[in-house]
Amino acid sequence: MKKIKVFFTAIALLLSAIALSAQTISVRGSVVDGAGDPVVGASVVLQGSTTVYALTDAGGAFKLSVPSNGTLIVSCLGYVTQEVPVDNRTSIQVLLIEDSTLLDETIVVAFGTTTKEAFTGSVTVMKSEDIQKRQATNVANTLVGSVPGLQMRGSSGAPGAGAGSMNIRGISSLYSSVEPLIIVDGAPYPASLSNIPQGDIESITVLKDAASAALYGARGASGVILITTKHARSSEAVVTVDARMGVSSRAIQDYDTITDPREYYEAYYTLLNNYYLNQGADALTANNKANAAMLSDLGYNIYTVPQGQSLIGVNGKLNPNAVLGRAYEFNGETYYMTNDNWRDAAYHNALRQEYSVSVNGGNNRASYYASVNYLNEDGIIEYSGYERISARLKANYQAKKWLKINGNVAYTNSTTTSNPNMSSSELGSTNLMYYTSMIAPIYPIYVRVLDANGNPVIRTDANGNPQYDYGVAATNYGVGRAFLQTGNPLGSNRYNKVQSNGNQLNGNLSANIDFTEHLHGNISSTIIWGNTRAMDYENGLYGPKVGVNGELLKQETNSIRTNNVQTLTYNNNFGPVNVNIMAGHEYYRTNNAVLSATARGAFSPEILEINAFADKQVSSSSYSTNYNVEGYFLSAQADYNSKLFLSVSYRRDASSYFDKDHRWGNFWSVGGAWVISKEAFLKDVSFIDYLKLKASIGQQGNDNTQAFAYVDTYSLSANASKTGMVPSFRLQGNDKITWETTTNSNIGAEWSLFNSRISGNLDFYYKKTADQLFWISIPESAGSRGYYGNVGDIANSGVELSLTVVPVRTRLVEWSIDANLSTAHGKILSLPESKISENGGYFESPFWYEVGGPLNNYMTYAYAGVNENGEALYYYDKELSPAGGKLDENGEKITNNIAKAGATKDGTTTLIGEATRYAHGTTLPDFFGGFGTNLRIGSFDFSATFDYQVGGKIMDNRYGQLMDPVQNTQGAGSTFHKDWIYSWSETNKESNLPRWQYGDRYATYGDRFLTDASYLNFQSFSVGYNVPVNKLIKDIHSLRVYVLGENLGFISARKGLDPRYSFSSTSTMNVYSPVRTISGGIQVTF
Amino acid sequence: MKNTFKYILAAGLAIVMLGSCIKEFSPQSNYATKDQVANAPGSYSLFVQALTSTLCGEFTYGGSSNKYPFDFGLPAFYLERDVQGQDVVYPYQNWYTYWYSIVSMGPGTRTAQLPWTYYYGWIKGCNDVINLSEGIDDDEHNAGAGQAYALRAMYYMDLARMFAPKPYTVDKNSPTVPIVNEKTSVEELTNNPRATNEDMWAFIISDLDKAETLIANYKRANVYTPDLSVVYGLKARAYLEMGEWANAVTYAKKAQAGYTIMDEAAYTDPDLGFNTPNKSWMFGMTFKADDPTILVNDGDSSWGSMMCIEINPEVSGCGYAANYGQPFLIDRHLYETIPTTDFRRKCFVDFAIDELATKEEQIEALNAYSAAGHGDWLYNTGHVTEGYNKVGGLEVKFRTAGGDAGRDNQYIGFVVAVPIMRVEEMYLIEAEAAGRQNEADGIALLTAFAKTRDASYVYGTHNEAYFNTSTSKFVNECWWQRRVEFWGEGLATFDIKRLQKGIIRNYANTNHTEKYRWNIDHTPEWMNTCIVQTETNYNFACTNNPEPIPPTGDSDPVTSF
Repeated sequence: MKKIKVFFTAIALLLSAIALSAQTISVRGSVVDGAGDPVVGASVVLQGSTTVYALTDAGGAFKLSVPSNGTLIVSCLGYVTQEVPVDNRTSIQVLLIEDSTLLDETIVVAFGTTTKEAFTGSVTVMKSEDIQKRQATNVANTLVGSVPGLQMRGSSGAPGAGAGSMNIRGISSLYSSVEPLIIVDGAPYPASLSNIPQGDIESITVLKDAASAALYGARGASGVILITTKHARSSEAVVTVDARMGVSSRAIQDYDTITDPREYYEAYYTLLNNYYLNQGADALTANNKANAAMLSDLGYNIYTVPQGQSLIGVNGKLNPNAVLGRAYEFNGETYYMTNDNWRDAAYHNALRQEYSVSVNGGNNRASYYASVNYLNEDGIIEYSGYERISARLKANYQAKKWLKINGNVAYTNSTTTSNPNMSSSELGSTNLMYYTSMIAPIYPIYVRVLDANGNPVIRTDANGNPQYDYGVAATNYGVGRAFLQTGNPLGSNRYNKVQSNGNQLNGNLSANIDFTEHLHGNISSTIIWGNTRAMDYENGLYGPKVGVNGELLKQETNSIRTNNVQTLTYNNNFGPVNVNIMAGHEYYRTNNAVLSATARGAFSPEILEINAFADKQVSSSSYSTNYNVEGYFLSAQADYNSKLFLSVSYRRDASSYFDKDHRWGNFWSVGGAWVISKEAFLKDVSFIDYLKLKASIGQQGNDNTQAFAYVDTYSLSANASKTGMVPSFRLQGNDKITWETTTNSNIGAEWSLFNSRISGNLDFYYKKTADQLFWISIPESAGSRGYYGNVGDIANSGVELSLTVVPVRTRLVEWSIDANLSTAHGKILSLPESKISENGGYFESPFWYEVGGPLNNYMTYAYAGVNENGEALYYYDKELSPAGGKLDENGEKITNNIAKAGATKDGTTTLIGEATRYAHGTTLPDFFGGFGTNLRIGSFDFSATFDYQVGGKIMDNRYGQLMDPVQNTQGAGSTFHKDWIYSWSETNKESNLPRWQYGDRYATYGDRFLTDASYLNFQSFSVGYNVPVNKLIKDIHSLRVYVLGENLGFISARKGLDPRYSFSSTSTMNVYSPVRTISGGIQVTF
Repeated sequence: MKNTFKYILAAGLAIVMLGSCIKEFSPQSNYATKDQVANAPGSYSLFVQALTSTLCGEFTYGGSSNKYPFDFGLPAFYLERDVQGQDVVYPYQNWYTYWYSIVSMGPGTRTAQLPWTYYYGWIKGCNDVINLSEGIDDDEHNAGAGQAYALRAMYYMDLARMFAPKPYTVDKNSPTVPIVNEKTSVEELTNNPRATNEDMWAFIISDLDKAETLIANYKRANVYTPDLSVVYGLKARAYLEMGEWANAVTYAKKAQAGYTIMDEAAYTDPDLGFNTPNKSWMFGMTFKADDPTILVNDGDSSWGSMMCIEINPEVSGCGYAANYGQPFLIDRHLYETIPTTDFRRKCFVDFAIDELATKEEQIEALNAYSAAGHGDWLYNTGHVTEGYNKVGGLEVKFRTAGGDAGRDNQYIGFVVAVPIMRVEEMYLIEAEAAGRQNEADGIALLTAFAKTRDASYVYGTHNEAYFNTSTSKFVNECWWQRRVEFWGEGLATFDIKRLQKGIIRNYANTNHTEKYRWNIDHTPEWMNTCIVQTETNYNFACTNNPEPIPPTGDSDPVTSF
């Protein structure tokens, strides 16, 4: 039976092939976009016909009777039109490619939308298709390399972490925050973007210039990031199910440190041996002393050496008779000391899972978008992770002909489990990332003893748990560990618990009212309620809380942020002129209340609530903060024949951060655009599809200074009898402080050439920030170091270029390459006289500030190589240093001035106290950006993104630390960089690296560690396949399988150096650096 | 009709839009605006209380997030100053290594920042109270102003002695620090030269004169605020420094009234020794259980962590001195010059214990020093890292508070009081000042005092010049008494500078740390603290002291002192 059916089918196919043309067949098809989503309302027209056509339905499906050899023209607004030969097929799947250069594309701007054509400002838009190709728990991480002019520093890979610090178009202020303003669905959003699943996001618009951001006048000086969640569509319901699962692993590279205990002992020995030899000891004495001092300094000897022999021989090499692992008696037990690999123990590969379901649909009066998302991301360090469940419902309803109601409610519940003490600046004994990358490879994780059979085993404690080595003599090995004694981050991690539970509810209700055909009103109110319950439990079994039997901190944070906006809009046409005028009012208020308490004396780690703790009166605290901004705004747009566009805006804002007499600021912008390609003289230039010139100028503000900087404040502390709080002076206030103002000008062009094969845009900008909220220093003998005032100007200027090239665009293959490049050069235009009158500029670690100088001008000592003894030399300026012999008016040697940048290098000294600090130039990069490619072959697609930075500098303090010859016992026990062997020595006098000698204090200063900050990062890739499943199962519109990867490869000037930590140095490290994640997923729509 | 409704709506919307309602806020946390402070009940009294309640316990310099273990207030300066000499040994180089091994002592460093931030912050508090008291003549305001003048004088005395390269008696023109009083404006500050010794000490005496009058009727509740006796004591200190012997005697004697010299039981009290005020304490300060320096970092960034070495290593395990191998020791030579009959010797572990053959014997011998009878803890303290690996010279002068509970739980144990002035100092000032005028009187007074410490005391056995042979045998003998009596109480470096002594860290059997065993034949330049850049950059008249350059390598040991 089966055979017969196959046979008949084959015959039928053969016959139909023979029948050839002219035959009309019924074709079913579906139209999907690049992301595999159905394209609703696309028109499918038979070529040459005006009557044979269809529109796709909510599932993107269509049905037509057409000649079997006909050609279908498939088109839809926002997509490149496709010609599809029928070729006798009865089932056709059409893929429409989004037209990135499309002119009538809607973009979200301040308090509304506009079209790309009409827009006079400078923005970058990331659409959901771009975002879907990335995997990011925090969507801000997708912006790096994709948004020209945006830089991010210090982002963390900890599951659920907030974004790194961002700046757009340079550093626009010296003392105030330059973080861009983030707006989600129309309201300021200061919470973590990790709370919004990336699948819910329709678009991210980054506003960079005055014309785009001026309506956020008050706080838009550093740019604005607008995030818009997916909107409801009026069509038959579409359900999308997306599931992805992947593996995270450690992406950061380690510095090339010593990992072999033999090498470590030899390096440490050499330090001491050189010290004793230099003290005049003979080789044998030096060897004896160095061996003794080494074991005394390090504490731990993990080699067994025959009785009477030394660990390291006179030749500086490990005793050939030494055997790794040492057993010895202590307190009646036989201990066994050997090393462990801390890094391997600390990291593991982790699972990441994310599932989401969304439904989108409606009719001509009401529509909705609803989604549920679940994410479970395990950390690459044990006991860390992020779990999030979120839901969103967005709906609108045309209640009356003139009234439309919109609602948008989202709820997120998240649990972040982190590791204790993982702050980026706390390089202490409980910071696991720091610890494991710095500990010498001679120290064990666990306390080991010999069992009855003489085999080394990990000692277990009374509870049967492995005993961690805290390096404390009395309770562990009987000797103290030199490296961060009393700590063991793996132990802390195991027994301590740091967790925070977050709830966030966002609600927005708005109403559009059509008063007349031309006059519209909108009232919109948003409330964001955030509640975080955090817990920090330090165990009572091991570590510092044993004495108090465990300690528990509970902290509850409640924040309420409300934003109310009312706008009135008038639009009309007057012949060829279209006018749109809007007036509005915005009122934004936040209140944060924090309540916490600490208790000690645990009942059991199974009840981590204060009620199960004995001492409940250890400490408690509560405080609250408030912030309020209010603004009035007016904007107008006009265009002439859709060819000339003009936009103006004005906004007046007040901030509660200023005194009531100085809180109002006025901000404005003017912008124009000219679509030159529509002019007659370019009509005949066929390769130009589109060309627009634009220019804008305007002023925006920044109030991101300290709260209450406008009034004298006093710190409160308890009096000696704890019966009252008493005030002591805190900060001097200045009631005159007000908004700092950034004047932002932009000129640019946008183009599309050769039928959208080459498109791009180019912007030049110049931003001048005046009347900065400057920290004005006063002599500290005032009892205060200074106060804020509005003085000092800086400017940032740069170019941003982005380019998209489509080398291949056929039905089968589409390949595009995009790249962007930005520059941002900061310059200091003026500084307060009081700060510069003494030295012509001023030094605030680590930068030198002078008028005309660049921003981030790194100032430090200048390394001058080594002297004949191998000691490090540093330059001095004879005008500044006593080494130059200059005398003061009393005829005494001048004191070394290290607050002024040296001008000339007059000589060298081995003493840092006589060396001069020089300005070594800006640490900011020459240029930076990203590039990527998208390739589609049939139903397969592939994309990759990279980001890069060229030039700039970073102080590689961590390398410096690894290259520091130990100065005293405090420095013992941390590992060294393998480069130590290139140090100057009697047998290596050509070396430019200082000698390797214990106690040398000044070996690792200066610009020797100021390193090129260029990098290239392979940020992400995605591979997808749209399975032509609708041929098989009618109800399924599309089925996509895909693989995504993030943080794939990284190159910088030195292995282990990550210039993305900061714009100055690696002294604070982002401990939980970005992790590599590779996931596979499946997305179904029906 | 419908249109009317819509127009009403539009009008309503316009009204909402135009209504301005921006709020003005006040801080709702642990700080307050000046208006909030002025409105607080009993505002003036709070300002006065703040003068002394901020002496220790806060992280005034770095804040709780940095929790530096040298940022706990006035007592931290005792250690910072005194490890610069020889009497206080710092065997394990960690937080206090800046001052012991003279590293990072330049004007751009935190070692220069610390005294400036603390002392001028305190002085600002005094100036505020003096301003608030102006023109109000009642007991409350007089008492407040009196305290403010007394404390301001005390702070400037400390600053003058830290920053002046030469003491008053040697060079009256030597520069101290800029004087900031209650009238100094911010503009004046930018051109405010360092006062000479002469001007500075005149200013100090004038403040103390005012304090003496204003504070006369003030009856204090405890020794944590200064009263008239403290003003006398400060005057005695000042006149000793200035070499005005007659005045020094007068005020030292006045100051003694109502106080008693500690006897052996009080001095060596295993539970209360130097952690709780007694009849000899004239002025002191105290840590509180919820001070940031106690709550944060396991209490390890506090005075107790540095000085209280009895903390149960198995139950608590905290304390830099007790359990991290970083105790402060007495100089071995100073210890060995204390006769066995002098009870102050019991405050320090005998170096002979390290010579005992077995650990058990050593622990047995150490039991005598331990309040808890835990010689093993003290053994652990000395041996916890192999950096020092001995017990000789460990101090048990500053005892853990709270008895057994405190020794098991450092959150109790580190909540200690610390002396600022004791009556013993007055007896020694009186003796020295009297002897400077008439040596026989001085010897008699000194001997009388010394006999309270050592019944078999014999005058004249402590004549050590420390490179300055111009001081008399009598003065050297007084100095020795002060070194022993006030070990760890913040007077040692001031005395070295006052008496123009050198320092000796290397001698046979020294317990100083290798590489820093320096013998300097004059007062080391590093005892002239550098002024921080945040002053000199913006106070254009302010000169600085040179950044000290430490010797390289150990000195040759001396054989005589």
